Order: sequence, then structure tokens, then C-alpha cells
Amino acid sequence: MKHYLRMELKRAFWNRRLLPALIFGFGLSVWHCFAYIVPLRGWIFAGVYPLSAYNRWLGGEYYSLQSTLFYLLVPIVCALPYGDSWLCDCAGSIGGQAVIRGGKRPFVQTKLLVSFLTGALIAVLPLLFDFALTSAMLPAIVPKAGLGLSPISTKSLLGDLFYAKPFWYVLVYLGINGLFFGSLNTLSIAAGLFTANRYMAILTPFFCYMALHCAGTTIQRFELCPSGFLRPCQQFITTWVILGAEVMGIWSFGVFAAFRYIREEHGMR
Amino acid sequence: MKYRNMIRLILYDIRYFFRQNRWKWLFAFMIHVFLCIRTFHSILFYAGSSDLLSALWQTMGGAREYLLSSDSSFQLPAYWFLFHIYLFFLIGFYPAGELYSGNGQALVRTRTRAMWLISKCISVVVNIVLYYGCFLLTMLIGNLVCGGTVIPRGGIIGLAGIRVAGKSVTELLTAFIFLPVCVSTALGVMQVVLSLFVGPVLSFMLNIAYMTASVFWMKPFFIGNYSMLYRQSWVSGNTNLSVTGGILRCLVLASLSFAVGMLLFQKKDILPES
Amino acid sequence: MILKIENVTKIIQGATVLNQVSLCMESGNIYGLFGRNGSGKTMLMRAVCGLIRITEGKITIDGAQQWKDFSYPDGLGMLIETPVFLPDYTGYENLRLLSCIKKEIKGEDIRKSLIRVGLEPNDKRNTRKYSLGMRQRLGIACAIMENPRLLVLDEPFNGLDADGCEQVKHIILEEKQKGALIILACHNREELENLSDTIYKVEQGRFSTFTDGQK
Repeated sequence: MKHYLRMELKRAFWNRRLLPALIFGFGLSVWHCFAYIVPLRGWIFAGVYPLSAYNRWLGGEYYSLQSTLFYLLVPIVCALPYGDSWLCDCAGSIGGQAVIRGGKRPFVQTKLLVSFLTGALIAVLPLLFDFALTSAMLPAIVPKAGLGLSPISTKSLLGDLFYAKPFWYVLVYLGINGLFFGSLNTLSIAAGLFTANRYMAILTPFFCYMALHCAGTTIQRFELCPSGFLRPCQQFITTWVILGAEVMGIWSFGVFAAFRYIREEHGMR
Repeated sequence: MKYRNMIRLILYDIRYFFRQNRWKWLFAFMIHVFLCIRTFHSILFYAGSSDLLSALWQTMGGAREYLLSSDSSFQLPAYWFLFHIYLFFLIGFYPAGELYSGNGQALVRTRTRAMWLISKCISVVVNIVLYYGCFLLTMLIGNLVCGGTVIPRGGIIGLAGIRVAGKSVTELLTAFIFLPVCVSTALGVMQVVLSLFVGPVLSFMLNIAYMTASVFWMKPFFIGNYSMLYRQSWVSGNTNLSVTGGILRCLVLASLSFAVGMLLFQKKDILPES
Repeated sequence: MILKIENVTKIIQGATVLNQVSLCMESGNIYGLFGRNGSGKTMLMRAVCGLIRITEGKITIDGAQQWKDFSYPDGLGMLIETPVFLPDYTGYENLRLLSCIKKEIKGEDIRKSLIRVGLEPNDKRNTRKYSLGMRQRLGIACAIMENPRLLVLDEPFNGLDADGCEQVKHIILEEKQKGALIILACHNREELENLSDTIYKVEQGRFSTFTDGQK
């Protein structure tokens, strides 16, 4: 499995579609910086409290177009490099070749793991880059609670950590983003068992993401909407239970698909 | 002779489209039913009585102008967005899919590439009109079931506070139906043409980004604004977003996309998708 | 029909896939293309079918120039690469759909084409369940169903059993009898020599006449 994992990792990260995926994220980040951060440099001490990078970076606010575009389109972008690999392998002979050499279980485990890693990295790297870029322009001043300058409150997830150690808060929240988008990306692999259309496989994570958003909006439970609660500024506040349930629910599709494939008697699609 | 060939090609496209996208159409119908149930539930809960215009407003209304500030929260109007992106998903994958998955068999049976592209654009327009038709029919049935009227009582769409009394039937039809269809058509043609060159997924993403930018910026360049009833000039008072201007801009965008697409498609090599 | 390929060159991403190709082909003949993988056989077929635009040179059919007077040859039947059809429909339904574009043939003609290639017209199975050989046969049926004047076949024997190969050979000879111009690419030199009136050897985009192993 080690060799197969190495091969799949190379395939996922040494891939011409990875570049446009990263360009999207980094491009939005640079645009955001020029549109919203650069003009603020002369106004850092103009308000009640100095402007802080923690409240102005791409993940720290929810008023800009760039942050909305990022958190809207990142499920598609994450699936671009590797989302259709299962279907391509099944359509060609490489899937069968891998299975007869290594077995079905390592094959499907590797696929899920690599898609998780791809999704996590494509989602997190541009955010890290943006945070670094913003911190280079604005001071990373520890936000002050009670001034109402930040949307994070005590009811928010890790709210206390945000005001005590905001840098760790950002890192932990980016970890949560990585976990969620990585898990979401595994749906593109699982979709390969139910559709022969590679575009459907690539878009399945996005549709799941939108379905959660619509469900939350419909029943007025905005804590279900990942496009809101995944932002470090927490446009919608969620709980650990809901976050865990959504991640587990997403993973269950992947596990179900893997289980079904391994138990299939007639082999590859 | 040429016209007959064209008509045959269009009929082929419509049939092929439906054969390839039956499940997508079924899902579109389910989305319309969901929007209908949710809309009428909301209207009856808050207003007590329903009417067709108020029901259409719930989906087609969109969002008021977004005023950017450090305190503001930019949110997309969920149902308007869902309605449009599903439409783009429905139509956007057809031409590139038919071209590459069929190995060009349909293409070589046409007389010219121009005919092929025209036929694709027309079939996309037909599907857009059918999509809107299906949505309107669903809302109409929902309204009938709820015993609602067409125009709201008192001439005001209660939940939005918009006065429609005094508006002619033509004006209402243009605002509620014709202009959104024009916008979807223009963007649909643009997406279809783009999909042949950058791929269906990227063209879909570009359309989503454009619609999002339309919500963010209330400017005539972003024609998505014309499909939001809140932003049309008769509601918002923004004279830059007039109905006539909207229709003209949609025509220009569709024509430009088609013309550029035609020029590039003539030179394109049809090779298997890698 | 006279098909003239004059000084045709095609360059893709810096690589010359067709290099100053000049050929003259007439109706009622079978022209075989023989060469290694990646030598340019399929590219020439694509160029003749109008699927790709040539960089230099011209292709004319009966004096009419491609891309000036026409885009796709009239009466063209082609099988290039593994044929792909709508997976949720039967073979007959797939061909029926394609035949609606030109509307030159009826359902009965489609049935006859399917029988000619050894497929059952009333088969209720979707093409999703077809084997490679069945899809190949369906692809050939698609190419011959509209009585083509120009028949372009790229590796038509791929995936076929012995009976299937015999059927396809018979079909090719029948089409030749009807006066079609047939361009055939095949890796099996023996088959090619048995069928073709002229064989061209293809090497790195260059075409040369090949007879009995000698240029």
C-alpha cells in the first residue's frame, strides 16, 4: 500500500489541475489584500481600538466578495485535481491493474486518504497565505473582548481561545477547515460508485455543501450552514456536536461507498 | 433545405439533451416543488393568504442592494441562488459532453460547425424556457391549491412591501418573467460557449462567481442584477437598472458570446478529452 | 469522388503530427494506412473528417476545398477511436437518434445495418452493458448506416472475434462494391494487404506508398 500511496500522492499533487486550483485561492487572497487591506494601512490607529489582522484577513471577516467566493467555490476547487480519479481508473485499465496487485481495500483506502489530503491542503493553504499577507500589512493585535469589534463572542466555538491566544485560534480553526473540506472532498471519490459522469463526481462535494446550506436556511438553523460556520469569523455559530455530526455524516458516505465496493462481486464498474 | 437541416439538428439536440439529462430534469422538478412548498408555507404563515406574485417574489426577489461596511454581513439570497445555479448546472454540461463523449458523430453530420453551435445555443434557450415554465407551473399549482389570487390583495406584496398596483400586465410579465429569462439565456449562452474552451466545470464556476458578484455590486455590468426583482429600477429606483437596459445588455452579452465562440470554435481541434 | 490531400501539415503543441502529406484517393477503392502507434494515421483521418484544422495545405473533395466550401464531407461515415454511445439506451435507439440529424434513412435501414454487423436490432440491453466487441460493432453500424460515400475506419477490427472480423471484412468489400472511398487503418498487415488496393506506410507523420514490404 505504501507504494500505491506514494503513486497516488504524486498523481494528486503533481497534476496540472492543481495549479488552477491553487491559483484560485491565492488569487482571491491577493485580490482581497489589495482591495481591503492595503487601503487600511493608513487607518490602523484611527478607531477606538487599533485594527487587527485577526479581524481583517480573508477568514476573519464576512463583508467582502472575496471571502464569500472562497467559501462558496472551494468545494469545487478542492475536487478539481483528484476528484475524478476513481472514475478515470475504473474507465481505463489502471484501476483493475492496481487492484489485482494490491487488493481492493488498500486501493479504496488510498483513494479516500489522498482525496482528503488534497481537499484539506487546497482549502487551507490559501487561507494561511492570506493570513500571512494580512499580518505583513496590519498588526496582529490581540482582539479585545467587549468592544463589539469582532463577531466572536463567548457563545462562539473556541471564543475564549480567540481572545486569549488568537494565533492558536486561527491555526485550530484552519485545522477544522482542513478537516471539513478534506472530508467533503472524499465525496467525489464515493460518488464514483454511483455515477459514471466525471463532472458529477467533481461537483458532488459542492452539491452536498449547498444542500447543507439550503437545509439550514430553510429550517432557520443557520448553525448547519458550513459556508457560514467554517469561516474563522463564524458568520454563523455552530456547536461541536453539529460540526462532528456533519463530518461524520460526510465520512459515512465514503465508508459506505468503500464497503460497497469491497463487497462487490463483479469487480470494477 | 438549410432550414430543414437546422430544424432537424435542433430537434436532435432537444431529444439528446432530454435523454442525457432525464435525472437532472427530475431533480429540477423536485427543487421546484421544494421551493413551492417552502414559499407557500412561509407566505401563509406570515401573511395569512397567498398570491402568485408574492410566491414568485420569494424566489425571484433576490436581495436588496448590499452596502459594504466593516459591520455588514454579505449573504447570498439562498433560493434565488439555488434556482439559478441549478439551471446553469442543468444546461452547462451538455454541448461539451455531447461533443467529446459522442466522438464528434453528431458534429460530422451537420453541414458546418456554425450550424452545430447555433443548434446547441437554441436547444439551451429552449431548455431555459422550459425550466422557467416548469417553475411557473409549479407555483401556479401551489397557488391554486392554497386558494390564492394572482395579484396580492391591496396591491402590495406584503412580505417585501412592494407596491404592484397600477402596474400593467405587460410590465409585470416583463419584470417577473421575461427579464429573468433573458438574463438566464444570456448567461446560459455564455456558459455554453465557455464550456467548449475551458471545460464545463470551470465555466460553471465562472457563472457562479459572476452571479455572486452581481449580488455584491449593484451595477448594470452585472446582469444578474436584472434577475433580482428587488434591484430592478421600478423597485429600487436605480435608473441604471432599467428594464430596457437590461434586455439590451442581455442581448449584447449573448450575441458577443456567440460571435466570439463561433470564431474560436471554427479553429478548434476536436480531440478526445484527456 | 476524388479526395485530394495536398501538402497537409498539422502541428500540435510544437509536434509535427502530419508532415507535408500529399495523397490522391478515388471512389471504389480501399486505402490502407499502416504504421506504428502515434505515427499519424488517426490524425490524418481526423483531418479528412473535419475534426481538426490543418496547419498547412488543403484537402479537396471533387474540387471543393474543406473549410472553404464545406466543413464536413458529404456522405461521411466514420469510426475513430473507441465508439461511445448514450449508456441508458439500446444500440438501435442510439443510432435512431443520430439518424435524425440528416434524416436520410428510416428505422428499417438501421435494423439492416445492425444485422449486417452481427447485432440484434431488438436487443433490449442498454449500451452500458455492451462488451467492447459489441460497442465496436455498433460503431461500425453507425458508420455504414447512412450509405456513406466516404468511409473512414480506424482500427475497425479492435475487440472483434474471428466471426466479427470476417463480417467487417465483408462489409468493407460490399461498401467498396457500392463505390465508396474507404480509408482503413489497421495494425494487422495481412488483413490490410488482403483488403486494400493501396497501402500507405506512415512514419512520423510522413506517408509513403507501401507494396509488398517495399516502398
